[in-house]
Amino acid sequence: MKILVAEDEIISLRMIGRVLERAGYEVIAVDDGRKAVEQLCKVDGPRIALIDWMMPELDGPGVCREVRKHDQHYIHILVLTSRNSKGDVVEALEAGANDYLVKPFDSEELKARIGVGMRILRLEDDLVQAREDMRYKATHDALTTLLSRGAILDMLTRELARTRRENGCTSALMLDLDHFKSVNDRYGHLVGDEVLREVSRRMLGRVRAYDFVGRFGGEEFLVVLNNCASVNATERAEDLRRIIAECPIETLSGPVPITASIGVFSSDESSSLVVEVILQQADRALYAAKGAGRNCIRIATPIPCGDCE
Amino acid sequence: MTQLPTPSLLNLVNMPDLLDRVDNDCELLRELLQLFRVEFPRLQIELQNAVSTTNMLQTAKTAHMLKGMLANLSFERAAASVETLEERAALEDRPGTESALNAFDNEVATLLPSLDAYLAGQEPLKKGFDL
Repeated sequence: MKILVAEDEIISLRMIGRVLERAGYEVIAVDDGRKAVEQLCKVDGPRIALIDWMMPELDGPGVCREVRKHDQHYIHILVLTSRNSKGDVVEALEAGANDYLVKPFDSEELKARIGVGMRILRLEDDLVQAREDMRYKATHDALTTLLSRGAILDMLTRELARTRRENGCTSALMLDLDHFKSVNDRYGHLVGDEVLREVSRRMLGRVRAYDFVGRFGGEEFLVVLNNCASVNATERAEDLRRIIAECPIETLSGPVPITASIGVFSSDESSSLVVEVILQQADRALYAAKGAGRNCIRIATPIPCGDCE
Repeated sequence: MTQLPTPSLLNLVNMPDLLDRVDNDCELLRELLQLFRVEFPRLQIELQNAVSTTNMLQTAKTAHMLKGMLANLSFERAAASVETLEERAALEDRPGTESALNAFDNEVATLLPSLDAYLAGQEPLKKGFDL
C-alpha cells in the first residue's frame, strides 16, 4: 500500500518514512504541497496521505481542498502538524482532512490511525464494488448479459441527441426471433434460454465495439448502430439475420434451428424524431418482415417530419 | 574561569519517548541526530536573521519548523523555547521575540555540545543502547 508523506522538514520526513516503511508501507515522499496534490491526483496515486500543515507552495488545508475537488477515488488524508489549537483542527477537517495528529507524533498512534484509514478505504472499495454490481444488474439483462430494456432505450436517446448535435445518423434495428414460442413449447424453457443466450452472443460478436445491443423483451432485441446510415444499417441487419440463421443452436436437447425478422430504422430519414416514434416505425417494419414470411429484414418507411411529434 | 562540564544529553532529551517514536531503531536515531546536527545551524542563522530584520512572518515560520523538528527529536526544552519564540513572533511582539530568541540560543548552546559528545560516541544514549 502506497502512502504519501508531504513534509518539508527533513528530519520528520525521514523519521515518519522509516516508521511507515518498517510497518510495510511504500512511502512516497514530497516536500511541498503542489507535489503532494500532483501525486494524489494520479490515477494510481497513493490513497492514504500524511500531510504537514506548513509547506512551500501550498499548505496542508490547501492540499486537502485541491484533492477533494477531483472526482476520483477516495483518499484518506491525515494532517500531521505542530499546530494544535482547536481552530486549526477544525480548519483542517473542514478543508477535507479525515484525521489530525499533533507533532511530536507517537509511532504506535500514527500506525493505528493509518490502520483506521485502511479500514475506511476497504469499506469504500466494498461500497464502490457493490454500487458497480448494482449498476450492472440494473442495466443488464441477467440471462443474456445484454443491456436491459431501460438501458438500451437510454442509449438510443443519447445517440439520437448526438446525431442531431453532430448532424450524423443513428440506426435502430428491432429484431424478433421467429416462432420462439414453439421452441419453448417443444424443448422447454431451459433450452429457450440457451437459444436466447446464443443468439445474444452471436449478435455481440457481429456488431462494432461502439454499437449497443439490448434485450427489449422476451425474444425481442433492439440494436443501436452509431453513426450508421440507412444503406449500411440494411447491410448490418442482413448480416445479423444471417449469423442467427446460418447454423442451428447447439443445446442440451440437440440442435435448434432459429431465425429472426428485423425492422430497420435510420435517423437520417427524419432526424427530429423522438424515441417512441422511432421504435414504433422500427416495430412496424419488423411486423412487415414477419408478414413477408419471416427470416428477412424490412426498412421502415419514413413518415413526414410534420407527423413525427 | 572554570568551564562547566558538558551536561548529559539524557538530561536534554526525553529518550524513552524518542526511542519509542523510532521503534527502538538506534541506527535511525543516530542518522536523525546527525541530520539534525547538519540542518540545525542553517535554520538557527535563518531564525537569527529574521529576528534581527524584524521579519516576524519569517521568524514565526522558521520557529514553527524548528519546533516540529525539535519536538519529534524529543528535545522538549528546546522545543518549548522555540515555541515561545513562534508565539511572540505571531503576536509581532518585537522585544518578546528578541528575548525569546536569546533564551532559545542559550538552550541550544547547551544542547549542541551534548549532542556532539554523544555523536562522537563518548556516552551511550541509554544503558544498553550505544549509538
